[in-house]
Formats: sequence, C-alpha cells, structure tokens
Amino acid sequence: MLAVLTAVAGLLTAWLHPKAPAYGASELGDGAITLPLVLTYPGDVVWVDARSRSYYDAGHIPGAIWLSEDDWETGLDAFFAADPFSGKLVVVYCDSAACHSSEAVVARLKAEFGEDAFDVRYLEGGWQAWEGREAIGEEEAPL
Amino acid sequence: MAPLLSILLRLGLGAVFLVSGYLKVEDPGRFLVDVQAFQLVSYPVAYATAMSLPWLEMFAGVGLILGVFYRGSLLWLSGLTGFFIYALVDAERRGLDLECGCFGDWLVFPSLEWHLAFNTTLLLGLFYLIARTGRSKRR
Repeated sequence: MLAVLTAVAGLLTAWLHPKAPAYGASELGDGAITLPLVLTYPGDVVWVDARSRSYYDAGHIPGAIWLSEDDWETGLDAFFAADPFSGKLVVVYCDSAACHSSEAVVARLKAEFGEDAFDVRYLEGGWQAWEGREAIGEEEAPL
Repeated sequence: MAPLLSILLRLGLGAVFLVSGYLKVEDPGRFLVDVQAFQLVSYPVAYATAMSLPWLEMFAGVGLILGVFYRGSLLWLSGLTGFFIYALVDAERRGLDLECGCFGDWLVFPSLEWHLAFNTTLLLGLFYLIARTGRSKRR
C-alpha cells in the first residue's frame, strides 16, 4: 500500500510540481551538465569561459580559460595548454541559462576536433549558477 | 520503560523522516541533482527516486507516528536508511564530495563521520522498533 501511494505521489509530483524538472532536462549526455555534478566530478576539470573578453576580465571561475568565438585562435592556444585531450572534463560556460554561446563553443570544438576527442559539456545556468553556488551548499570549487 | 522508549522512538523517528521527506518534496529538482551526484544509479532511476522517495519518507514517517502501515513503514525506512549508509560510504571510497540533500539547509553535517553516526542511530532505532513489533506478536 505504501508503495502504491508513493508511486502515485511521485507521478503527480513529476507532472504537477512547479519545481520538478522535465524528464531528461538535467540528464548528462545531452551536452549539458549541472554545477553540483561538476564540483563532485572525481577527475580533473577544464573550465572554459565563452563570454566576451570584458566579462571574463571582470570575473571568471578560478582557472577558467577564455575561449570565445570573438577571438577563437587566441583562445585555442590557452585551451591546448590545459591539455584537454588527456581525459579531463571540459566545461564551457557563458553568462546564464538564457545565453547560448557556451553551446556554440561546445559545438565548434566537437566540429573541429571530433565528437569523441574529449568530454566537453556546457554548464547549465552558466556564470550565474557559479555565483549562486553558496545557495546550494557549495563553498569552494575544487580546481 | 520499554513501552515508553518505543513511543518516544516512534514519534522521534517519525518526525525526522517526515521533515526529511518534506524538505525534499519542496524542491524535487534540487533533490534530483543530489541523487545524481552519488553517481550510483542511471538517470531514469535517479529521476524516479527524486520524484517518489521523499513521499515514501513522509508517508512512512506518518505511519510511525500514527501507527498505520506500521510494520511496512519500519521495513521501508530501515531499507532506505541502510542503503543510504552504503551510498555514503561508497561515495567516500570513490572520492566524491557530496551534499546529502537530506535536510536541505536545515541540517548540515560537519563531517562524514557525523553523517554516518546520525544515520546509524536512526537505523538502530528502527531495528529496535522492529524487534519490539516481533515481541508484541508473540505474546
């Protein structure tokens, strides 16, 4: 009986709860990754900032490399220096959930170096997710 | 003494799981992230868990307090707590640094040891109540 009640409540939650994510919305594999998953990733992470240079200079995730379609070749030198082909997770971010430049950088990296050259994702929520991370209990990010 | 202890444990444990479940029901999206962070189960299982497990905690917590679906509540909560202890130990072994998601921002444990001690205490309390249930039936 408890199992039945639970199953019904779970279905109603998925369907009606305003804070319930749509099925598949946060699943790894569609190119996106959430901040908590990056911060708990057991391997090395290469952060890539896809915003404009002025935003990057004003503040960025510690250790992030600037790689924007505004000046692609300049950014690539720093990107290669981070050795992304050695099994590291590459996470690209832009300003917020509403921007798409991080997705564009992910797509361009895959187009130029191959789908399986390295594990590259874009960060859900972008820079705003990083700035708001203390609200979800994350104090410091492993680098 | 034993009946009084049983009553206190029923009410206390029931309240703990009721609150724990409620805090997760408030934000299933955040709880889904917490479940995925353990990297133990596939996405479909994580999604189903995030949507339904908090309700199981709440229903079973109410069950303990009111004495309805009592044995089933004890067994479900014991299984959940035991599996969660395993998940914490496994996450530590794999080097994952996690937020449990158990009590939102209400209760944050200072270390894994505190977390394990708390959950082990809950599990021992549940086992005691299960044993008392068995003794009551034999009389």
